[in-house]
Amino acid sequence: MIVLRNVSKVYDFSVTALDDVTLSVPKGDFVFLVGHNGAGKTTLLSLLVRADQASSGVVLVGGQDLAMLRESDIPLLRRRFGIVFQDLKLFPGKTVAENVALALQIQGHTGRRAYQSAAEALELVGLQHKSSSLPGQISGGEQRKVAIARAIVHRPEIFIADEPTASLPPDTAWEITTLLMQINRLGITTLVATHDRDVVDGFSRRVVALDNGRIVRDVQIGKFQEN
Amino acid sequence: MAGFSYLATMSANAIVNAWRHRTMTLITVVIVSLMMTTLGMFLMVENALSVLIVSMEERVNLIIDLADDAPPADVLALRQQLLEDSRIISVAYITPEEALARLREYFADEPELMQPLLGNRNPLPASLELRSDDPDYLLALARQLAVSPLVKEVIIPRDVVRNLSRAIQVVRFFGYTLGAGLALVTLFVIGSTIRLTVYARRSEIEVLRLMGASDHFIRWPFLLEGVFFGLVGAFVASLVVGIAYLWVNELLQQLINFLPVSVDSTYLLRLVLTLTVFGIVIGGLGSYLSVRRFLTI
Repeated sequence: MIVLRNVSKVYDFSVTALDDVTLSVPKGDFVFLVGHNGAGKTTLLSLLVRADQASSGVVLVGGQDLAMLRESDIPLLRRRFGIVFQDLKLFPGKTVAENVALALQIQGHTGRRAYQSAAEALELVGLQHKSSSLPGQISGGEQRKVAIARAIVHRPEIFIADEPTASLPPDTAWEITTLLMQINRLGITTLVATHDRDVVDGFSRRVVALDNGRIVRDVQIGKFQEN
Repeated sequence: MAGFSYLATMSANAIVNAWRHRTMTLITVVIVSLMMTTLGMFLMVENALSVLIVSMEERVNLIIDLADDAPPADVLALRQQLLEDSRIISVAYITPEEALARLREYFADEPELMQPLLGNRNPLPASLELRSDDPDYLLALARQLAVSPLVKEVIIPRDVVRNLSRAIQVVRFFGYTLGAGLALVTLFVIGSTIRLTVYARRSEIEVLRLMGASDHFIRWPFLLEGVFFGLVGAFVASLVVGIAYLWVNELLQQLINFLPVSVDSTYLLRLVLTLTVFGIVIGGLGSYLSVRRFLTI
């Protein structure tokens, strides 16, 4: 599903964010991308949705070389993804339901159908009762769930989440990660960038560790840090 | 149906955007309304002058007072000759009695003015009244007829018409210049507002892009917002100009009742349509130019 071959990303000719990264993620896989701040996790995710382009190497999504992608096809690529941003990026002036339905409106689904699907996605994350609240009126954990509902409402092929449990209490972080596992069970390829040790250690999934832009470890069932 | 639903969603987004930046929206709507009201007022004045000049042109172009001793057969022959002239629209024969009746009607409110003027006899001659589209030809014809033994006097009331024509040309020139200027200012105002809105929403636009929104999805609400400004401006202008039109009509009817002043509802409708189309075009164009320049997707 996702293939990176000898990918490097250098900013301003001097700052190396990714250095000769090679990675393959099969369809339906669940991967924790771990590493400290600045390790290159967010850069890697941004290359996948063509928010950025690799300085060298090849990035393939579903067999498609992103370097060859026309500008006009970038929105189509991005619609294959469901994204939970690190800072969530919910629209403060829109209700929870409107925020979720927006992902469908972008795909051309409008009217009642979009809101029905939004309601189903909110039900999946347990927030149907908050449909008409504004993001500012709900808790941080609930906001994460809204962002997750928005990312999955259009049934994406690939789900990526950047630090989805950051600054959350352990029980909420656990709840959110369980939700991500459920999403993955639907057959959606899932990449989660995190530096939450408890979450990674508790779920025993594939772990890809980045350090200074390089992959330093890739194990099928791993821990945050090898002893 | 899907297209309508899409447009409805885009329109809803546009209205939400306008509401979210309501101070800016209010300022824009007030300025656009003022511009369009000024334009509407100009159109109204231009129309009033046009109606007036057409009416004066329609009344008569040339009056030929016939000599008292002109043989009726010769007068009839002259009339026939003029009727056969393709450049003459109409020829009316006015008897002295008809001319007197007209005069009496004109001074109906002040009959005492007529008495010393007329005495017990009718001093008015018979006449021919001619209408033509070609003022130069009429002038030549007037010179030619003035020397005819059948003619007592040729009267050309065209000077008034000519002066009015000149006035309307001046009004039109300034009006079109003003209209073009106002259109540019309105374009600039709407464009600036949209630019500020684009700037205020740049982070949201970035999120939409990352979620896979197409150029259309991002641009349409801004374009519709511009159209919305134009429409509100047109609505306010139509209301103000419409009320002013009715009020001025009523006033003129009271003050100068000999002028052909009457409420023309089809003109009012055309004026509202003109302002609405102008609003949509200027609003859409203003935001389109701004979005094209400042919203790089």
